[in-house]
Amino acid sequence: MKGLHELLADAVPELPEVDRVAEVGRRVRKRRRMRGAVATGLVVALTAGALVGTQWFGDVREESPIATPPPIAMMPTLDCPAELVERPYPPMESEGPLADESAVNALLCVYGGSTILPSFEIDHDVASVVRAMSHLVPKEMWEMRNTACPAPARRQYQMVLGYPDGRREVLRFDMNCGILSRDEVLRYGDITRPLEAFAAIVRAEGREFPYPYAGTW
Amino acid sequence: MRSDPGSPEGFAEFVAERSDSLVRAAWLLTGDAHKAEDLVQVVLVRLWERWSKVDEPAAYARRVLYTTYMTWWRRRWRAETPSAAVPDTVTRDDVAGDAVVRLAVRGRLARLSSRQRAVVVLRFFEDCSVDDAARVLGCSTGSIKTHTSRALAVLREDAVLRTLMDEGVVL
Repeated sequence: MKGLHELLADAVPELPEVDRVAEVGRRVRKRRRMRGAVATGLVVALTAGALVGTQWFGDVREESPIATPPPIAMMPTLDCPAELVERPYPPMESEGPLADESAVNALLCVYGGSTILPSFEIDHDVASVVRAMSHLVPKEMWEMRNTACPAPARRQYQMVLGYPDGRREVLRFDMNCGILSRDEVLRYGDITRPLEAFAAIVRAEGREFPYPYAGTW
Repeated sequence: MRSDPGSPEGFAEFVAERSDSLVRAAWLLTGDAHKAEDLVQVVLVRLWERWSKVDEPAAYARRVLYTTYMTWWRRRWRAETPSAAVPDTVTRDDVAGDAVVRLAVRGRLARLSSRQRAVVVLRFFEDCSVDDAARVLGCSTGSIKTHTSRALAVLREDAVLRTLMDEGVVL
Protein backbone atom coordinates (compact mmCIF):
# COMPACT_ATOMS: atom_id res chain seq x y z
CA MET A 1 0.00 0.00 0.00
CA LYS A 2 1.35 3.38 -1.00
CA GLY A 3 0.67 6.68 0.60
CA LEU A 4 0.53 10.02 -1.15
CA HIS A 5 4.04 10.63 0.20
CA GLU A 6 5.39 7.69 -1.81
CA LEU A 7 3.50 8.73 -4.92
CA LEU A 8 5.00 12.21 -4.71
CA ALA A 9 8.46 10.85 -3.99
CA ASP A 10 8.19 8.49 -6.98
CA ALA A 11 7.13 11.36 -9.23
CA VAL A 12 10.48 13.13 -8.78
CA PRO A 13 12.88 12.09 -11.57
CA GLU A 14 16.55 11.39 -10.99
CA LEU A 15 18.18 14.76 -10.51
CA PRO A 16 21.77 15.54 -11.46
CA GLU A 17 24.52 15.62 -8.84
CA VAL A 18 25.66 19.19 -8.28
CA ASP A 19 28.45 20.58 -6.09
CA ARG A 20 26.06 22.92 -4.32
CA VAL A 21 28.49 24.30 -1.75
CA ALA A 22 30.85 25.45 -4.51
CA GLU A 23 27.96 26.93 -6.49
CA VAL A 24 26.61 28.76 -3.44
CA GLY A 25 30.11 30.12 -2.78
CA ARG A 26 30.28 31.39 -6.35
CA ARG A 27 26.89 33.10 -6.06
CA VAL A 28 27.72 34.65 -2.70
CA ARG A 29 30.98 36.08 -4.08
CA LYS A 30 29.14 37.43 -7.12
CA ARG A 31 26.55 39.14 -4.90
CA ARG A 32 29.33 40.69 -2.83
CA ARG A 33 31.08 41.91 -5.97
CA MET A 34 27.85 43.45 -7.21
CA ARG A 35 27.28 45.14 -3.86
CA GLY A 36 30.88 46.37 -3.94
CA ALA A 37 30.37 47.75 -7.44
CA VAL A 38 27.21 49.57 -6.36
CA ALA A 39 29.00 51.00 -3.32
CA THR A 40 31.94 52.08 -5.51
CA GLY A 41 29.51 53.71 -7.92
CA LEU A 42 27.90 55.63 -5.07
CA VAL A 43 31.28 56.78 -3.79
CA VAL A 44 32.28 57.91 -7.29
CA ALA A 45 28.98 59.74 -7.75
CA LEU A 46 29.27 61.44 -4.35
CA THR A 47 32.90 62.39 -5.00
CA ALA A 48 32.04 63.80 -8.42
CA GLY A 49 29.13 65.71 -6.91
CA ALA A 50 31.36 67.14 -4.20
CA LEU A 51 33.97 68.25 -6.76
CA VAL A 52 31.34 69.92 -8.94
CA GLY A 53 29.88 71.62 -5.87
CA THR A 54 33.30 72.92 -4.84
CA GLN A 55 33.88 74.37 -8.29
CA TRP A 56 30.42 75.96 -8.40
CA PHE A 57 30.82 77.64 -5.07
CA GLY A 58 34.26 79.01 -5.99
CA ASP A 59 36.32 77.57 -3.16
CA VAL A 60 40.04 77.33 -3.67
CA ARG A 61 40.89 73.70 -4.24
CA GLU A 62 43.96 72.18 -2.77
CA GLU A 63 45.95 69.75 -4.87
CA SER A 64 45.12 66.19 -3.98
CA PRO A 65 48.09 64.21 -2.70
CA ILE A 66 46.94 61.36 -4.94
CA ALA A 67 47.75 62.42 -8.47
CA THR A 68 45.63 59.88 -10.35
CA PRO A 69 42.82 57.86 -8.81
CA PRO A 70 43.04 54.13 -9.46
CA PRO A 71 40.92 52.91 -12.39
CA ILE A 72 37.52 51.61 -11.35
CA ALA A 73 36.35 48.33 -12.86
CA MET A 74 33.07 48.86 -14.62
CA MET A 75 30.50 46.83 -16.46
CA PRO A 76 29.91 48.47 -19.83
CA THR A 77 26.42 48.91 -21.18
CA LEU A 78 26.10 46.68 -24.22
CA ASP A 79 23.84 47.23 -27.22
CA CYS A 80 23.22 45.06 -30.24
CA PRO A 81 24.73 46.42 -33.46
CA ALA A 82 21.95 47.31 -35.89
CA GLU A 83 23.62 45.29 -38.65
CA LEU A 84 25.85 42.29 -39.01
CA VAL A 85 29.52 43.16 -39.25
CA GLU A 86 31.19 42.31 -42.53
CA ARG A 87 33.36 39.23 -42.62
CA PRO A 88 36.98 40.38 -43.09
CA TYR A 89 38.98 39.61 -46.20
CA PRO A 90 41.69 38.47 -46.31
CA PRO A 91 41.46 36.75 -42.91
CA MET A 92 44.41 36.64 -40.55
CA GLU A 93 45.55 33.20 -39.46
CA SER A 94 45.99 33.45 -35.72
CA GLU A 95 46.56 30.64 -33.23
CA GLY A 96 46.06 32.91 -30.23
CA PRO A 97 42.82 33.50 -28.35
CA LEU A 98 39.96 34.85 -30.40
CA ALA A 99 39.19 37.45 -27.74
CA ASP A 100 40.45 38.48 -24.33
CA GLU A 101 38.98 36.32 -21.55
CA SER A 102 38.78 39.24 -19.12
CA ALA A 103 35.36 40.26 -20.51
CA VAL A 104 32.92 41.03 -17.68
CA ASN A 105 29.70 40.82 -19.64
CA ALA A 106 28.44 39.51 -22.95
CA LEU A 107 25.35 40.26 -24.98
CA LEU A 108 24.06 37.72 -27.49
CA CYS A 109 22.27 39.43 -30.36
CA VAL A 110 20.05 37.39 -32.66
CA TYR A 111 19.11 38.42 -36.18
CA GLY A 112 16.31 36.87 -38.19
CA GLY A 113 16.33 38.42 -41.66
CA SER A 114 16.08 42.15 -41.09
CA THR A 115 14.66 41.73 -37.58
CA ILE A 116 16.64 41.83 -34.34
CA LEU A 117 15.19 39.13 -32.09
CA PRO A 118 15.32 39.14 -28.26
CA SER A 119 18.87 39.43 -26.97
CA PHE A 120 20.34 38.02 -23.75
CA GLU A 121 23.11 39.29 -21.50
CA ILE A 122 25.30 37.47 -19.00
CA ASP A 123 27.58 39.09 -16.44
CA HIS A 124 29.48 36.10 -15.09
CA ASP A 125 31.44 33.15 -16.46
CA VAL A 126 31.98 35.06 -19.70
CA ALA A 127 35.51 33.64 -19.87
CA SER A 128 34.14 30.13 -20.39
CA VAL A 129 32.22 31.33 -23.45
CA VAL A 130 35.28 33.15 -24.81
CA ARG A 131 37.37 30.04 -24.19
CA ALA A 132 34.88 27.93 -26.17
CA MET A 133 35.36 30.37 -29.05
CA SER A 134 39.14 30.31 -28.85
CA HIS A 135 39.17 26.50 -28.83
CA LEU A 136 37.66 26.36 -32.31
CA VAL A 137 40.13 25.63 -35.09
CA PRO A 138 41.90 28.63 -36.62
CA LYS A 139 42.29 27.08 -40.07
CA GLU A 140 39.67 26.08 -42.57
CA MET A 141 39.96 22.36 -43.26
CA TRP A 142 39.17 20.79 -46.61
CA GLU A 143 36.10 18.97 -45.25
CA MET A 144 34.77 22.26 -43.94
CA ARG A 145 35.22 23.82 -47.36
CA ASN A 146 33.09 21.06 -48.86
CA THR A 147 30.15 22.00 -46.70
CA ALA A 148 30.77 25.72 -46.53
CA CYS A 149 27.79 28.07 -46.68
CA PRO A 150 25.16 25.38 -47.32
CA ALA A 151 22.22 26.99 -45.60
CA PRO A 152 21.52 30.56 -46.57
CA ALA A 153 19.02 32.60 -44.58
CA ARG A 154 19.65 30.90 -41.25
CA ARG A 155 19.33 32.92 -38.09
CA GLN A 156 22.52 34.91 -37.44
CA TYR A 157 24.19 35.82 -34.16
CA GLN A 158 26.61 38.43 -32.92
CA MET A 159 28.09 38.59 -29.46
CA VAL A 160 29.20 41.84 -27.89
CA LEU A 161 31.82 41.43 -25.16
CA GLY A 162 32.29 44.17 -22.55
CA TYR A 163 35.57 44.79 -20.70
CA PRO A 164 36.24 46.49 -17.36
CA ASP A 165 37.94 49.42 -19.10
CA GLY A 166 34.77 50.12 -21.12
CA ARG A 167 36.08 48.50 -24.31
CA ARG A 168 33.69 46.42 -26.42
CA GLU A 169 34.34 43.69 -28.99
CA VAL A 170 31.83 42.41 -31.55
CA LEU A 171 32.04 38.81 -32.72
CA ARG A 172 30.02 37.51 -35.62
CA PHE A 173 28.69 33.96 -35.82
CA ASP A 174 28.13 33.32 -39.51
CA MET A 175 25.78 30.36 -39.22
CA ASN A 176 25.49 29.90 -42.99
CA CYS A 177 29.21 29.34 -43.43
CA GLY A 178 30.15 28.07 -39.96
CA ILE A 179 32.62 30.87 -39.36
CA LEU A 180 33.15 32.88 -36.21
CA SER A 181 35.04 36.15 -36.65
CA ARG A 182 36.41 39.00 -34.58
CA ASP A 183 37.88 41.71 -36.75
CA GLU A 184 40.16 39.86 -39.15
CA VAL A 185 40.64 36.76 -36.94
CA LEU A 186 38.50 33.75 -37.83
CA ARG A 187 37.53 30.45 -36.25
CA TYR A 188 35.99 27.44 -37.96
CA GLY A 189 34.26 24.22 -36.93
CA ASP A 190 31.31 23.77 -34.60
CA ILE A 191 30.64 27.41 -33.83
CA THR A 192 27.50 26.48 -31.91
CA ARG A 193 29.68 25.37 -28.95
CA PRO A 194 30.19 28.87 -27.54
CA LEU A 195 26.49 29.53 -28.15
CA GLU A 196 25.65 26.39 -26.16
CA ALA A 197 27.99 27.55 -23.39
CA PHE A 198 26.22 30.92 -23.33
CA ALA A 199 22.80 29.24 -23.28
CA ALA A 200 23.82 27.01 -20.36
CA ILE A 201 24.80 30.07 -18.30
CA VAL A 202 21.49 31.81 -18.99
CA ARG A 203 19.49 28.68 -18.18
CA ALA A 204 21.47 28.04 -15.00
CA GLU A 205 20.18 31.41 -13.78
CA GLY A 206 16.64 30.13 -14.23
CA ARG A 207 15.96 32.36 -17.21
CA GLU A 208 14.06 31.13 -20.24
CA PHE A 209 16.30 30.98 -23.31
CA PRO A 210 14.40 30.37 -26.57
CA TYR A 211 17.39 29.55 -28.79
CA PRO A 212 17.99 27.39 -30.69
CA TYR A 213 14.49 27.35 -32.17
CA ALA A 214 13.35 23.81 -32.94
CA GLY A 215 16.82 22.47 -32.23
CA THR A 216 18.56 24.54 -34.92
CA TRP A 217 20.82 27.45 -34.12
CA MET B 1 30.99 17.05 -1.53
CA ARG B 2 33.77 19.62 -1.76
CA SER B 3 33.75 22.26 0.94
CA ASP B 4 34.04 25.79 -0.38
CA PRO B 5 36.97 27.48 1.38
CA GLY B 6 34.80 30.46 2.34
CA SER B 7 31.77 28.57 3.58
CA PRO B 8 30.79 28.98 7.24
CA GLU B 9 31.45 26.13 9.63
CA GLY B 10 28.88 23.38 9.40
CA PHE B 11 27.34 24.73 6.20
CA ALA B 12 28.84 22.07 3.91
CA GLU B 13 27.59 19.32 6.24
CA PHE B 14 24.10 20.82 6.24
CA VAL B 15 24.11 20.95 2.43
CA ALA B 16 25.35 17.36 2.20
CA GLU B 17 22.64 16.20 4.57
CA ARG B 18 19.65 18.27 3.50
CA SER B 19 20.04 19.59 -0.02
CA ASP B 20 18.80 16.39 -1.65
CA SER B 21 15.44 16.60 0.09
CA LEU B 22 15.29 20.34 -0.60
CA VAL B 23 15.87 19.75 -4.31
CA ARG B 24 13.23 17.02 -4.43
CA ALA B 25 10.69 19.28 -2.74
CA ALA B 26 11.72 22.09 -5.12
CA TRP B 27 11.18 19.79 -8.09
CA LEU B 28 7.69 18.91 -6.89
CA LEU B 29 6.97 22.63 -6.58
CA THR B 30 8.38 23.68 -9.94
CA GLY B 31 8.19 20.52 -12.06
CA ASP B 32 11.52 21.44 -13.64
CA ALA B 33 15.02 20.30 -12.73
CA HIS B 34 16.71 23.61 -13.66
CA LYS B 35 14.20 25.72 -11.75
CA ALA B 36 14.40 23.37 -8.78
CA GLU B 37 18.19 23.64 -8.67
CA ASP B 38 18.03 27.40 -9.02
CA LEU B 39 15.42 27.67 -6.29
CA VAL B 40 17.55 25.61 -3.91
CA GLN B 41 20.61 27.68 -4.73
CA VAL B 42 18.72 30.84 -3.78
CA VAL B 43 17.71 29.21 -0.50
CA LEU B 44 21.27 28.10 0.25
CA VAL B 45 22.74 31.52 -0.58
CA ARG B 46 20.28 33.13 1.84
CA LEU B 47 21.13 30.54 4.46
CA TRP B 48 24.91 31.02 3.97
CA GLU B 49 24.55 34.74 4.52
CA ARG B 50 22.55 34.30 7.74
CA TRP B 51 24.17 31.09 8.95
CA SER B 52 25.49 32.50 12.22
CA LYS B 53 22.12 34.07 13.12
CA VAL B 54 19.86 31.13 12.25
CA ASP B 55 18.97 28.77 15.11
CA GLU B 56 17.23 26.10 13.06
CA PRO B 57 18.75 25.98 9.58
CA ALA B 58 16.39 23.26 8.32
CA ALA B 59 13.26 25.17 9.33
CA TYR B 60 14.70 28.41 7.97
CA ALA B 61 15.63 26.77 4.65
CA ARG B 62 12.18 25.28 4.32
CA ARG B 63 10.48 28.62 4.96
CA VAL B 64 12.71 30.40 2.43
CA LEU B 65 12.13 27.63 -0.12
CA TYR B 66 8.37 28.02 -0.03
CA THR B 67 8.20 31.80 0.23
CA THR B 68 10.72 32.17 -2.62
CA TYR B 69 8.75 29.71 -4.72
CA MET B 70 5.53 31.67 -4.15
CA THR B 71 7.27 34.95 -5.01
CA TRP B 72 8.92 33.55 -8.13
CA TRP B 73 5.73 32.02 -9.34
CA ARG B 74 4.06 35.40 -9.19
CA ARG B 75 6.95 37.24 -10.87
CA ARG B 76 8.51 34.89 -13.33
CA TRP B 77 6.51 31.83 -14.12
CA ARG B 78 3.03 33.25 -14.38
CA ALA B 79 3.10 33.32 -18.16
CA GLU B 80 3.67 29.59 -18.34
CA THR B 81 0.75 27.33 -19.11
CA PRO B 82 0.50 24.23 -17.00
CA SER B 83 0.63 21.16 -19.18
CA ALA B 84 -1.56 18.20 -18.50
CA ALA B 85 0.84 15.87 -20.23
CA VAL B 86 4.28 16.23 -18.73
CA PRO B 87 6.91 14.66 -20.98
CA ASP B 88 8.75 11.80 -19.39
CA THR B 89 11.02 9.00 -20.39
CA VAL B 90 10.27 5.63 -18.91
CA THR B 91 13.37 3.66 -18.04
CA ARG B 92 13.74 -0.05 -18.65
CA ASP B 93 13.29 -0.73 -14.95
CA ASP B 94 9.94 0.98 -14.83
CA VAL B 95 6.92 -1.10 -14.20
CA ALA B 96 4.34 0.13 -16.70
CA GLY B 97 1.80 0.80 -13.98
CA ASP B 98 4.24 2.83 -11.92
CA ALA B 99 5.09 4.97 -14.93
CA VAL B 100 1.40 5.66 -15.55
CA VAL B 101 0.88 6.68 -11.93
CA ARG B 102 4.01 8.83 -11.99
CA LEU B 103 2.85 10.66 -15.08
CA ALA B 104 -0.59 11.08 -13.57
CA VAL B 105 0.87 12.63 -10.41
CA ARG B 106 3.06 15.03 -12.42
CA GLY B 107 0.19 16.00 -14.66
CA ARG B 108 -2.11 16.71 -11.72
CA LEU B 109 0.56 18.69 -9.84
CA ALA B 110 0.93 20.89 -12.91
CA ARG B 111 -2.76 21.73 -12.67
CA LEU B 112 -2.65 22.93 -9.08
CA SER B 113 -2.31 26.58 -8.18
CA SER B 114 1.02 27.56 -6.66
CA ARG B 115 -0.45 27.67 -3.15
CA GLN B 116 -2.28 24.36 -3.55
CA ARG B 117 0.93 22.80 -4.84
CA ALA B 118 2.92 24.20 -1.92
CA VAL B 119 0.34 22.84 0.52
CA VAL B 120 0.37 19.36 -1.07
CA VAL B 121 4.17 19.17 -1.02
CA LEU B 122 4.38 20.47 2.54
CA ARG B 123 1.68 18.24 3.95
CA PHE B 124 2.11 15.03 1.98
CA PHE B 125 5.76 15.04 0.88
CA GLU B 126 7.31 16.77 3.87
CA ASP B 127 4.73 15.32 6.26
CA CYS B 128 4.05 18.67 7.92
CA SER B 129 1.05 19.12 10.19
CA VAL B 130 -1.62 21.67 9.29
CA ASP B 131 -0.19 24.00 11.93
CA ASP B 132 3.37 23.69 10.61
CA ALA B 133 2.26 24.20 7.01
CA ALA B 134 0.35 27.32 8.06
CA ARG B 135 3.45 28.63 9.83
CA VAL B 136 5.68 28.03 6.79
CA LEU B 137 3.28 29.65 4.32
CA GLY B 138 2.23 32.41 6.70
CA CYS B 139 -1.49 31.75 6.48
CA SER B 140 -4.28 30.38 8.68
CA THR B 141 -4.87 26.70 9.38
CA GLY B 142 -8.30 27.11 7.80
CA SER B 143 -6.65 28.25 4.59
CA ILE B 144 -4.36 25.21 4.62
CA LYS B 145 -7.34 22.88 5.07
CA THR B 146 -9.21 24.54 2.23
CA HIS B 147 -6.24 24.34 -0.12
CA THR B 148 -5.64 20.71 0.86
CA SER B 149 -9.21 19.78 0.14
CA ARG B 150 -9.22 21.55 -3.23
CA ALA B 151 -5.86 20.11 -4.22
CA LEU B 152 -6.98 16.57 -3.40
CA ALA B 153 -10.11 17.16 -5.48
CA VAL B 154 -7.88 18.12 -8.44
CA LEU B 155 -5.78 14.98 -7.92
CA ARG B 156 -8.96 12.91 -7.87
CA GLU B 157 -9.94 14.27 -11.28
CA ASP B 158 -7.38 11.91 -12.76
CA ALA B 159 -8.91 8.49 -13.37
CA VAL B 160 -5.79 6.59 -12.31
CA LEU B 161 -5.36 8.51 -9.06
CA ARG B 162 -9.09 8.41 -8.33
CA THR B 163 -9.06 4.62 -8.63
CA LEU B 164 -6.09 4.37 -6.29
CA MET B 165 -7.79 6.67 -3.79
CA ASP B 166 -11.15 4.91 -3.99
CA GLU B 167 -9.56 1.50 -3.57
CA GLY B 168 -7.70 2.75 -0.54
CA VAL B 169 -4.33 2.10 -2.23
CA VAL B 170 -3.51 5.71 -1.62
CA LEU B 171 -4.40 6.95 1.80
